[in-house]
Amino acid sequence: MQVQGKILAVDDDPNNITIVEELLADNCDLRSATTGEQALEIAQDFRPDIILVDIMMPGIDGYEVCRRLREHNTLKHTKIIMVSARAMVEERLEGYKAGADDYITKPFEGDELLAKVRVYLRLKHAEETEQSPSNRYQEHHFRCYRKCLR
Amino acid sequence: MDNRKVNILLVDDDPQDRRLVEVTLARSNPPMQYNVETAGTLSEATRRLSNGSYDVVLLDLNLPDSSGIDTIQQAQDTNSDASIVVLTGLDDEEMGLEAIRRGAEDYLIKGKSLEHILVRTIRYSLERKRVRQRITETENRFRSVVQTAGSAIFVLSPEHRILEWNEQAEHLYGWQRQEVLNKDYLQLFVPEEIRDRVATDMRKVLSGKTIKSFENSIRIRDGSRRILLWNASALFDAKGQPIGVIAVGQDITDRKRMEDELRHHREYLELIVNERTANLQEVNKQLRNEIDDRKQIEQKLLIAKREAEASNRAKTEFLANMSHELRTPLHSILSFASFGIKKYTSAKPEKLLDYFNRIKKSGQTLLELLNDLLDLAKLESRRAIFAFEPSNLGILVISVTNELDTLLSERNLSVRHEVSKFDGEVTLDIDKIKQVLRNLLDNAIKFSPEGGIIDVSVCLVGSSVRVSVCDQGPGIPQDELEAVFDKFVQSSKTKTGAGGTGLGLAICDEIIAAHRGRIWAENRPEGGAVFSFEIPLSMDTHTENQLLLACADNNLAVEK
Repeated sequence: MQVQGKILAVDDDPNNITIVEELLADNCDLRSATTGEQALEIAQDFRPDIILVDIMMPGIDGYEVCRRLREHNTLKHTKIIMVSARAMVEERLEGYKAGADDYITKPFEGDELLAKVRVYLRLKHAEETEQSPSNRYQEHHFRCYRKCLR
Repeated sequence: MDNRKVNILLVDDDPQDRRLVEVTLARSNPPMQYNVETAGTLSEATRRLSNGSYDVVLLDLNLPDSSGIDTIQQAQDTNSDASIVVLTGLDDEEMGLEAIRRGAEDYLIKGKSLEHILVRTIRYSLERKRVRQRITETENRFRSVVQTAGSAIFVLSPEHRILEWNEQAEHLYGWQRQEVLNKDYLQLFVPEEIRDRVATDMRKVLSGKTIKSFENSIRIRDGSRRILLWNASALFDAKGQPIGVIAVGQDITDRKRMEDELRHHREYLELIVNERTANLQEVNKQLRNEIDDRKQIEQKLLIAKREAEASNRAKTEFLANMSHELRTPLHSILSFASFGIKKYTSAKPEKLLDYFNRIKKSGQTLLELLNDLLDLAKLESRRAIFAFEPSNLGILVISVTNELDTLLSERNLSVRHEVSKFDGEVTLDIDKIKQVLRNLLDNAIKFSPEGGIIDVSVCLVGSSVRVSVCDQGPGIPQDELEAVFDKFVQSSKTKTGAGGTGLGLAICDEIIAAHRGRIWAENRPEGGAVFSFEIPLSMDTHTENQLLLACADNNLAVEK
């Protein structure tokens, strides 16, 4: 299974970090953080494609991490998957509201997490291609052409 | 006097005398117009008087069919309104005077200068008669007015004798005029208690004062009393001397009674109105009280509703937390078991051992959580059984410290005891208090830096004993000092990697409450947290239920 990408796992429980490492460390560039503050700091330089973030953490919680990432210029396109033992629908909705792309509840199947990671890496790659300078140039020409036709 | 002829009936049996009168009248100066008829007997005279109209009767008292003074009476009985002038003999002047007393206008003595006085006597008698008639008419008119008046009118002499008494007075007093004339009015009609006052008033009236609209009561024939409204004034004689009092009284008994009835009725109405007003006020007051009661009930219901809602929220929150706390170790168990299954052929045995260790540890965490949950559920539902007995807290503290010796050595921590300040006995449940001590020490061990010191002290504070456990850890944020005793709440500073179920302090809180004590957390100025609890030295163990009720924070039924 080949998954290429930079992943940041954030969880205050070392066991959970270990689980993510077992699943992803072989195929991804994986870093971990045990607090929200630490995660934001690492993300600045590491520029992960995907952040797997727990919700219930001391200090700033997963929701707040999400919101701050979305406000961040260079990190706002980072895919955020919330990984939490909080399973109620209100809690999941709160996660989406804070800006998460997806939500997975503990306990989860390892393969499911891998599948989600793969999908979001592909999606992110597609988005980045679309927003590349050459694409933007083509888009500009297309708009001018439509203007002339009117 | 008008110039009509004067009709004269001359009654005399003596023709000579008749002739003399006729001649005298004819010679009169100035001459008068006379029409003279004659009668020789009384019977003839009465017949003529009954049929004819005469102004004057010249009547001789010695007639063939009548003589003496009775003759006048018989002439008067004819109802003629003629003036009677009696003719008497020369020596009979007494008879003349007697005749006047009996109703004759005048008398003449025959033969004695008749020619000089006959005409004058006739004229005077006619004149006197006319005046008397006018007086009689006037008197009759006034008498009629008085008699038919609607008020009681009477006249009293200065000595209170009744002189006049009209019909209305008869009707009102029930006494006929004839019965009361000359009787003493005051004695007869005025009640004794006001008699003096009325006498005084009469004297005032006699002195010229007029009394108007004066009320007093009188006693009438049947003994009952009536109230009269009086006007009274004095009567004076020709010389201006008071000769009596005329009193006009109107019976106002009925009016007074009606006024009284009206007044009573009005007072009665006022009474009823007052009563009703009082009743209404009372009803109003009751209504207000009822409204207040209802408001209070409403308030209580509102509070109960809020409490129920809060309790419901707490339950939902608890379930969410429970789910989270169960899922976390389950996640580890399931994940590491999956890794083991997947990699059991490829992985090194050390790796597999690590998986097993992690699975075991998470399983233990899960068990610990379930045990804590059961403990808490028992404590909260008051089903936990407490065995209170006098114990030495210092010894308990040392015993628990010894239990944790291995843990302390691992972290290179030491415990300083200061238990000698209090060496007495405290009534407590040994196992439960040891559980509290174990929990507090366990926390202190978890959060202390390696090589740190934990201070445990036992001292007396008033009638309670206080145990404090101080660590050198990171302390607790000020706004979390109370919340750390809530279920599933761990201090944000110490949560990371600390493990635990988040129920330990909630359990401690319940146990200390059951001892009628209190538990709290503080931060030391020099850093680190202090957890302390106080329990009373002794308590009423014979009413454990009451104690449990006292510390119950809700109204759950107490079960033994």
